[in-house]
Amino acid sequence: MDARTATLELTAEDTGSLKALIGRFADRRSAILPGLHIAYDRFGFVNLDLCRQIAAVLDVPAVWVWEAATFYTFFPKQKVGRFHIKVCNNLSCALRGAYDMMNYLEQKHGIKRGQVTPDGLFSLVGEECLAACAAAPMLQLNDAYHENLTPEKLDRLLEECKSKAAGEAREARARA
Amino acid sequence: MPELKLVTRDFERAKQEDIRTYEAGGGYTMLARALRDFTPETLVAFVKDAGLRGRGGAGFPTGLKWSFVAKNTGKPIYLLCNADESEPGTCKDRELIDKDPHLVIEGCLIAAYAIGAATCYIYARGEFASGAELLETCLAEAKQRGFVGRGILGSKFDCEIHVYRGGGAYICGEETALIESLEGKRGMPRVKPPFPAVVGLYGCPTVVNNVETLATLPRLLEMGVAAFKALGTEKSPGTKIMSVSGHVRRPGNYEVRMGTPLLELINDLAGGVPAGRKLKAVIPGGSSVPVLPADKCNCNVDFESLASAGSMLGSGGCIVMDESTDMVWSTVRLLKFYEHESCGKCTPCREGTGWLARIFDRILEGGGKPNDIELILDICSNIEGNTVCPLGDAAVWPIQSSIRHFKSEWDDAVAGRRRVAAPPWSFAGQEAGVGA
Repeated sequence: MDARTATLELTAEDTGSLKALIGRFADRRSAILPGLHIAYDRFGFVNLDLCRQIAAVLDVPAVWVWEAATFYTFFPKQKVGRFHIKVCNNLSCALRGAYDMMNYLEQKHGIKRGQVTPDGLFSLVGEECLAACAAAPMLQLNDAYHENLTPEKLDRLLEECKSKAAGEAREARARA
Repeated sequence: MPELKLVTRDFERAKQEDIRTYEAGGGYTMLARALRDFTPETLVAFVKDAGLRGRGGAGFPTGLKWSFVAKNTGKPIYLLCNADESEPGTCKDRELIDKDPHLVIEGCLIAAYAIGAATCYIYARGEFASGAELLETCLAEAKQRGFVGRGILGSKFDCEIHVYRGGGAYICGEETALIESLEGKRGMPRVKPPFPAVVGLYGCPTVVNNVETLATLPRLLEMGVAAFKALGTEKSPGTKIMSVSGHVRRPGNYEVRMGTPLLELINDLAGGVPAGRKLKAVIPGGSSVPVLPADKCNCNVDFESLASAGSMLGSGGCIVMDESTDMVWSTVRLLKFYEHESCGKCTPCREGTGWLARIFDRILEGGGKPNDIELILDICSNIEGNTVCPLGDAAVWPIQSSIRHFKSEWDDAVAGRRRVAAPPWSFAGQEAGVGA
């Protein structure tokens, strides 16, 4: 089963690796951000439920985890697409067409800002500077940076995502 | 003047991230030299003498910052490497980590030895997933080779280094916000004093240094004070990695001697604005510094020269704009960034940036009013200097300078005489292959 549709519960591996990190810090509260990263890596977003689980592992108040989660925009607070696209639209990228690129994603590919496509494959947000200013326009797709984008490169990237998803679906059917 | 590759010297070496390659190129020998030839005190004095200034934005003298660390308090001392690079226009630290991660680690170790820190955290912004992973791998190798951990290179110096990933908050590049974030809290800056050198992480003495600053240390030890000072200017010794972005033909990171003419950087190294276009404006040091119109760009890349030109060297994020740029639009774009990134702690910044954003939106929609510019400048002066951290200043300097230098464009926008629009993607298309 796709981890993103599974029950929202940190695995034993997740809680184990979080516990192992506590010793890196003089104060266990510091392990909250690493905990949020572990939850994010597993589900692609964090919610209150996951924050409670992190709090339980760290033995800290849940509100400490939630207040951190809601401050840091890196962690989406609701489910995103299998391929979450962050288009940098700060000035360096904007000067080289980031806004046009966002429009292109919306109009040609039907991927709307702030939404997940009905098939669950893509979601799109505008992002502030991602420190790739000399390679504009660029976007981050899940963890990977894609730089110096042209319409052709972007089309190719989205095709690769679609075939990857199709491959995953075939594998899932074969296992079922 | 060509590039002067000091810190970025080994960027093109294959497998530089492999510790064997790094060591074959002389890597970790400067750590060994520091431990052999210096005491922490003499090392601090050495860096003070060299006049190395922080490369993250403020330009504070590194050795001086180290000398403020409270000694003999019985508390542990921490070194934090600031890799939260998020200043718009700046993309040098990410490349440093990607291209020469062991240099960053060696720099951390040298600094940790100087200040007496047994623990160092490299605070990488959340988005740098691959960079953080690379650093983890490199740290494991370095530990195996005896460069990190207990009794480093047979000395009495112990130092553990951990990578810590933030959560995509610009404000966490501010050192006290970074400390709050590392403590697992919302990244809101602290009131200073006390300064981190006295009360920092977990209430302990702490130094926060930028990636580029730390990566400069092995080179500084290698070449010595005199040779380092011979590069650059009297008050800005050494080199600076400048990230050149926007309307240039060859965007990229270029390392230059401090004191290199700004226009040489833009025209000779970065290829200048596209043929047939004219330079209009430059933001020389990251989005937070005042914008310079083309006729004020006859200055040099160093702290003093840019200050006398009316701007700042900042983080070295040089954003170039050609004549096609609408200065109202570009200024509004930056203000929206600061509005988004304001942590909300100080009222002038939290409310002021939002208020400005609403006025700008109204102007862009054609609803400008005759006294809008006065109102904007009034709000700016009520934010400037009235916040705990420099984000408030950073939000208003681009606006004040844009209005000062491009007043007629603002008057036109307020009067509804022009339609402002985002620049087209065709720019990248026309210059296909550039920067690839």
